[in-house]
Amino acid sequence: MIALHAAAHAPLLRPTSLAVGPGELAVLLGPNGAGKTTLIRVALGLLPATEGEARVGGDPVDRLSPAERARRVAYLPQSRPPAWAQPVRDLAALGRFAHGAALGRLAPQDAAAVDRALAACALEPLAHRPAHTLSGGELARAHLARALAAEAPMVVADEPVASLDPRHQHQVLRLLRDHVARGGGALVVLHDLDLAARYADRLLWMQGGALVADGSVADTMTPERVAQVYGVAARLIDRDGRLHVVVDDPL
Amino acid sequence: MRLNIALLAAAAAAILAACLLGSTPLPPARMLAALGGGGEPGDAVVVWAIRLPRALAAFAVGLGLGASGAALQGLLRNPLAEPGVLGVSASAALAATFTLHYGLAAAFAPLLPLSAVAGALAATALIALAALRTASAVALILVGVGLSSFAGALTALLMNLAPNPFTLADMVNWMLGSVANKSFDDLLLAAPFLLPGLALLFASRRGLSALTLGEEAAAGVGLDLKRQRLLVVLGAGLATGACVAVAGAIGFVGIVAPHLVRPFVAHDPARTLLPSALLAGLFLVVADIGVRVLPTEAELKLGVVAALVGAPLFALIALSARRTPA
Repeated sequence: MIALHAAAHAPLLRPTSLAVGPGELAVLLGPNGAGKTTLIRVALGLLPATEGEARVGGDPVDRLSPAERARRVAYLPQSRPPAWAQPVRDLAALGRFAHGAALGRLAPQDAAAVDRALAACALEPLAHRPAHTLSGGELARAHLARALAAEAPMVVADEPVASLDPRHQHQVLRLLRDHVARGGGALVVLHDLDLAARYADRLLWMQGGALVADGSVADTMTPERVAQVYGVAARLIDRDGRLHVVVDDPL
Repeated sequence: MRLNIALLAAAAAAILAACLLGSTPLPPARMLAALGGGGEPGDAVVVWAIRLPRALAAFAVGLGLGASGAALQGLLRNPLAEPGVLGVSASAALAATFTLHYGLAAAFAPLLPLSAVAGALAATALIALAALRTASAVALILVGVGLSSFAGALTALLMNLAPNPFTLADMVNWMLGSVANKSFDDLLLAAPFLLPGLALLFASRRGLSALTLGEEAAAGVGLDLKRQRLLVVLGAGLATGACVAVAGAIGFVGIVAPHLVRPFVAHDPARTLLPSALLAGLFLVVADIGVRVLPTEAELKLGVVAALVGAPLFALIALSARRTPA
């Protein structure tokens, strides 16, 4: 059983404690500069905590080798174009890096994992397209395929739906839900409150470098909290048991 | 794989051709006899003491520069990175010129490759540090150009102060780059640096693939960034330093070879490494044959020919890199 624990203090981060485990899709919310990415980086050991500790699957993250950590958590940072014009399949295959995969000569189990990930992301027709010819949305899906190809128990994704059209936004979140349904865990940064309300099992609200609320959508998604954290007026509309968030005006 | 075998075969053929061609043409039968240890004693001297070591030196220098260029490009995610452009070769040449200037190399021969390697390592480490501080590919190249100019200026200062015309001629050879008059002794002196350097670069190649994602995502898929930087900096420093110790500063080879190879290996930095090294080796062997058979008044320097071919290609790559990744 792999879970993420971070009880840490780092530059730009006030003492914060967080634990995300299997079987839940936790969405990390907060305005720009709230420290979401910093918290994720501390939790994954990519940024040292000045105090406290981060654990992945029970082990202190600074004691795990980068490859061992990557086999436990697949990390999808904010999407950027790759440096070289590699085909989509090779980008996805980099998700198998921690399993020792070398591009161009994948072991059968690595190739199978890559194929599954490409199929899940509907990328098979684009498998041989060079990365720099992809649209922003296609590139984001290629990165997601890389994270899924790792087949790690936990997925941590930083704004995975940025620059995607609505259809693909839902597609990506459904893929993450499927991952959770199979017993995995996910920690996802989103900026779209409506999507968060629809897909999250749990909301983590950050503001000013600290976690200010942690709970289910029903418990923590309130107009007051949205106003306090984001500084906007919002309405919550319950339509047939599904909560919709409509943002009206900045306060 | 097939690409590597083809390049290796072509390089072997070019090295044989280098033994055949020259001011005293050697018919193939006599050349092969001399190569096999038989034949006339004069032929054996031409092949074993002059032509073969020179061709092998050109090939070895190409291997080192091609591999260093490909690895630095992968590490810095920049198609313009290369030991010559980044000032690594110039720094190695400066350090080597310094030991020549003070006659230190005459006192203890291994000091020459040692100082060249030290200069190359210092420059590579500096560039890697600069890369940590700037995300801009252009800024990094400018740092390299600055380093290159500064090392060039210091070398010019040393030349200015050269005690006699012979030292000056020696230094000019270093600045321009040449494998003329190289012996197996020169190769043996450089091998303890070149071979480990190449080994380190090859050990780093899977990480170069991961770095295509950027450092954050590369760390995310399980790459040890510190180890990766160390491997490439050490490997490129050792290999480039050894190459400069053999042949002086030969620029642009390390930039052109990876660029030509990339489309054949699906633009994967890992798979670019070996064919880049082989292609650069092949290129320098062929260019050195050209230098020898061209009927010029004074023999052209290999580095000059490499730059004449490489510099325009560098400009072309720089122009196209603005539109698409390489």
